[in-house]
Amino acid sequence: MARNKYNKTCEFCDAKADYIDYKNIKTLVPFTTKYSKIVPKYYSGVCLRHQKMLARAIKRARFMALISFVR
Amino acid sequence: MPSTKENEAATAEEQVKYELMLILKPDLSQDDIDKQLKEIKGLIKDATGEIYHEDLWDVRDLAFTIKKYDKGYYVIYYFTLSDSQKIAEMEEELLLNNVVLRHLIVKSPKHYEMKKLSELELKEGDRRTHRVEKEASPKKQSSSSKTSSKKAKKETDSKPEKKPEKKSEEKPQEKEKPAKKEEAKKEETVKEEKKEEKKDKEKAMDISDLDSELESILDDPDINIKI
Repeated sequence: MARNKYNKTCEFCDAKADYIDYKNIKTLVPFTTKYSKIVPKYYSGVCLRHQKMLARAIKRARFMALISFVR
Repeated sequence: MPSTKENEAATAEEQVKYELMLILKPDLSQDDIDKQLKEIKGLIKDATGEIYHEDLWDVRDLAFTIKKYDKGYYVIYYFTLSDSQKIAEMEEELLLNNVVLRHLIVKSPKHYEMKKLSELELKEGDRRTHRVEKEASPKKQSSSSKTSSKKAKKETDSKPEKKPEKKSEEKPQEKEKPAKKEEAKKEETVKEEKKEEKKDKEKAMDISDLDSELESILDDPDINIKI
């Protein structure tokens, strides 16, 4: 997982994801910081399209108490 | 409580897939739960919906308290519905229902693969944070390890049984961290026990008392740490 400033690829593009499920905690949690904030796309390398999906999924998961809002 | 819907103006003729996630109160008896679920199924049917799958997640820990409950009974219904107007009525009923702590109605995509809870949930070895730091300086490491230990203490406050074990684990880690940069990077992400096992394999322990301490921890079958 050598993903840094200089080596960015969108994980969801690699997987050709059309939809990011809010129930899928396993994929959502790595894109949150330890304070449970959404990681900006310039850190994670996620493309804009998927970042929007991801943000929506994370917000839904937060509302349903699957992920915490703050830590 | 707001619920999100995608593309309200979907074509009315097509059967649109929806999913309804509910959090019920955790302290209900099984009979009560069955009764409530029947009612809610009835709601969906009244709205001319057809349930094609249901998923019971059972009682789960909530990430935060809702109405003073820190656990909830999760239920998910997958259903098709042609008339999206009826969802509003359904939602009203759900809002009035006292047993439902929270609900969420979401349009699911056409080719949606349903997965079991075990596939969705975080497991021990999974990545937890998206780390991008190239190399953390030793000072940073020590400070971050302190914060992590603080966190652990906070968590243990709620579970007093595990307190002594956790503390004893934290100590050897803090001493060894500067030696292993790679490990330190992942420190928050990787579970503590696993790390220690790795270290055991990679290099023999220098300090004898640390060794004994670790062994006592590893041998202990009661340890089942959740971060």
